[in-house]
Amino acid sequence: MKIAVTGADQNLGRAFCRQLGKRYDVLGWGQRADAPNLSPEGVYQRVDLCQRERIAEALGGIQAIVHAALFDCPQPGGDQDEAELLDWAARGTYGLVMEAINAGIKRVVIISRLSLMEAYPEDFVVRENWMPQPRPEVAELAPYTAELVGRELARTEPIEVVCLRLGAIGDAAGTSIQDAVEAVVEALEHPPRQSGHRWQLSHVASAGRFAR
Amino acid sequence: MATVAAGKVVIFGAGGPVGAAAIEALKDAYTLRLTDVRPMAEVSREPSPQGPRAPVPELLGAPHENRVVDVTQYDQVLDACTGMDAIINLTVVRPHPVLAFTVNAVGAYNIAKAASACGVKRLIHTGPFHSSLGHNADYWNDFEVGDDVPLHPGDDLYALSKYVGGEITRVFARCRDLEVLSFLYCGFRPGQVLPQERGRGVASFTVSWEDTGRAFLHGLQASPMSRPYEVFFICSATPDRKFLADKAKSLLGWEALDTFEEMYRKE
Repeated sequence: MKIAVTGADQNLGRAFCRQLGKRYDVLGWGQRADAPNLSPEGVYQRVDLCQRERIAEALGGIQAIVHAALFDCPQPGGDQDEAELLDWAARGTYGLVMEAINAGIKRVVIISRLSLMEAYPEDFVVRENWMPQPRPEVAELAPYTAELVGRELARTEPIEVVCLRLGAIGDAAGTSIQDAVEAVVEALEHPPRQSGHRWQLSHVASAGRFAR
Repeated sequence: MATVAAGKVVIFGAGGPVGAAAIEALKDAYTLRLTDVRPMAEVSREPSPQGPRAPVPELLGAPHENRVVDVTQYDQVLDACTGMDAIINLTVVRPHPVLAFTVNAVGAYNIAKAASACGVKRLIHTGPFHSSLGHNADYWNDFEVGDDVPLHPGDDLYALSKYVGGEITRVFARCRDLEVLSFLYCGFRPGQVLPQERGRGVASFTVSWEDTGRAFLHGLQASPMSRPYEVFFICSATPDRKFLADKAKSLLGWEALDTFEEMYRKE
């Protein structure tokens, strides 16, 4: 399977490229002009998610997308930077999923954050059926808006969107990179479990309050 | 106390017909800071792009203020919110592939963030309720649809970008001691029914421009809400029972005076 991984110039996207490159033909997409090391197998392409024509061009031959760019998006440097990041998250996800639909791609995996659920008391058993409670900060609103866009497009359009909420990668109370990769592979290779729904959401926690 | 019985109100996107109706309804009760991406003097000289019967904003003089503000620029939004008691966000861009998100979603973020930074207690946010989006998850075939149903914008750029903006505003309301009244609209028309319109029927979820303006007055002056984010259908209570307008009446004391009975009754 040939897949595109967004955020290949960021920590998680780069790790996904390296790990997923062992079983798939991986194209790593990022904003940066200089190519990060995606060895052993990954190939890097500069793709601005706010340029739909560029997305459409880069999707040739792609069968699935792992949209990891919003998990550890760059820290905003100021107020205007925050606005641009939020635009990139919302409009970029819209353009990405819409172009995936246009290209006939059947599945997109969106990587979001378990921190959207941290506002609930720690002794609550918080599952996927609980409403997200993001903080009004771009680091949380970016993945949250991507979730909203993905969910609403999957509701009406012919595409399956699987959302994986991850904890801090490698953190003692977060998500291990191995578990994250396994969840992505599961999302790519198996149809959504909830029959009839094209949107599926899973919490992926190796330890800590969200672990099962 | 979120009730704003008097004081200063900034309106973003004041240059459209809803802005015109809001200005007419609020100008004698509040000191208004009217902002738009175009100069209000310019907007007020031109006919409405929404047709000859849509209202055009009156150009107000002192003590009111007119200002050019681009809501995608946080520094401009923050400056416009400074010293205000309440905010009304009427900004909207419909089909533009870039501006739809930057105005409808990022603009909403900038306004909610500035409201929080300035200690403003009440924000009236606005957006569309699309009664038909051409997919099976819209509410086209339903009845007694209430204000709090989740919006299902589908892939419609305008609907989806405004939906995202509304949800961002909801997050600020929950976390930042900001009370948000979210007004949803579908169809607008003049209150006056023309002879040729009598007995021809009226679309569900319709409101007159005039009643739209009055809703802002009620929204500002309403008692504090029990929840920080409340959604209201702003529409006439037509007897088709398709979309309900009960919540605006019960929480804001607003109901449409233009009922369009001449349109839905046979002559």
